[in-house]
Amino acid sequence: MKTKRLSLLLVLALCSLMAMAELQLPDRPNPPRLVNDLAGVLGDTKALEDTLEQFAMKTSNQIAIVTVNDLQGEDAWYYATQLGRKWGVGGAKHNNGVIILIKPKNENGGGKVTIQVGKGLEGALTDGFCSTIIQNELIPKFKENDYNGAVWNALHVIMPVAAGEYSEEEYRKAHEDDGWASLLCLILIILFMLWAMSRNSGGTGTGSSRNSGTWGGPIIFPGSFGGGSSGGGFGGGSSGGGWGGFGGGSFGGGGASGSW
Amino acid sequence: MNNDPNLNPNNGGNQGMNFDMKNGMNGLNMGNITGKLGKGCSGLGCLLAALAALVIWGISTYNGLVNDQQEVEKAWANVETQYQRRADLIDNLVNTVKGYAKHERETFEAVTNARTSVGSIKIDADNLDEETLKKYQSAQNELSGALKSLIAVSENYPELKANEEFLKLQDQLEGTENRIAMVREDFNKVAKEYNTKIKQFPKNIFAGIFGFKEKPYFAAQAGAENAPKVSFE
Repeated sequence: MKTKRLSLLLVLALCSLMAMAELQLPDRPNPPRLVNDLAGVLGDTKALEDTLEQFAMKTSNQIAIVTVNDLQGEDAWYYATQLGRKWGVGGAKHNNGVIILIKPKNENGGGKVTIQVGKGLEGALTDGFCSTIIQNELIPKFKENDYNGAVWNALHVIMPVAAGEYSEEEYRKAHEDDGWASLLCLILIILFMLWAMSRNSGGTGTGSSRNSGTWGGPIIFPGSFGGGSSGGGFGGGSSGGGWGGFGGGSFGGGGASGSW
Repeated sequence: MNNDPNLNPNNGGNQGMNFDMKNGMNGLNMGNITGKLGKGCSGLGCLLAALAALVIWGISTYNGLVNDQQEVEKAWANVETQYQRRADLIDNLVNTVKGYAKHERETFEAVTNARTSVGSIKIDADNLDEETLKKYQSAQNELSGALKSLIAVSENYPELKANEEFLKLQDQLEGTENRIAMVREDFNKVAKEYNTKIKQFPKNIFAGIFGFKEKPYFAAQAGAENAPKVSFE
């Protein structure tokens, strides 16, 4: 029994060694596509593809979404980096590509995800920020088996950041605002109401604050705190293709990974 | 040829050949031969042409080797940049952890010592050989080991684990370990290309004359083995 297990282990080790020696990466899609749902978990990808192609045309930043069923024993980040180099995601001059690689939870093991960032975008999409996006936007949706929704959620953060319209700082603030700012506002409102009430009803005789009665005006929440309402912005019209294909960008290991 | 090439060294075109030859010969310490030939041994025309061709070939080979060497130097600079980045991150990490885990003196000492020895090793790309690279790697591995125990110690401090700065540093360290793996791989690749070239006949003759030395490789798994796994769970 023991020897049998041992030999099995040896075979497994040998297999993994061989897999390490030769990472079989999928060929570059032809015609070029930014969304490559090789694991078939994203459902209808047309809207994603259109949006990303338009984004590529507008900003020259290429964001590729790839799903695979098997990482062949490699770390997700390494697989994605090698794939990004092979396909040449992003421009060769600026290395402004991003790869979101998803290996869904399946018979080959747990779910793995990585966001790998080309050198040119490392300044905007830092390792820490990528990690935050994975933890906040991707993994919760992955856990609900909503892969398509997860990708959209992540793109709604990544695209404006990569385009320089939005910063990590603002994202973090907005996210904190979700909890803290609303709570703070609520507390302030209550305090204000208490204060106003005490002023109005108290009437302790000082009488100095008579004219504060006009202060009952409406308090308006300053816009939307969360990222929730930002969804509509990227709707793709009809893209006539012509985003030009992958540009030969390289990857150096920047980014972050996560698992669920 | 209406100009004497010896009087007009700046001429291009077909006289460039003579010019290149002269320089190239000087480079090979054979300037006196040029002098003799320059006096007009017309019978040696064939030999002259052959020599010129040889020298031109030599120059282009030399330049090619220099280019490859520069690629190796660039790759090495990238390696050093990423290791430096890691060292800086470790400094920050130590400072952050110190705020929470004051009593882990031994761990801090190990990191500080390893950090100092890493900082003291600077290898010029020219001096890269098996021995110096081994020294460099073992110092880096020692730092990896110290970092590993630092992170293990951090596990005992829930407040530290929730610290935003600490989490951020861990993300950055994870990314940097990946970057290091990539620059090492890239270095090995260009070093291999370069080594193959300087060993091939007849380039190896030039490599020998001009002192192009073989470059060492990073050990394949040494880094992966010792790299601390920085993960969220």
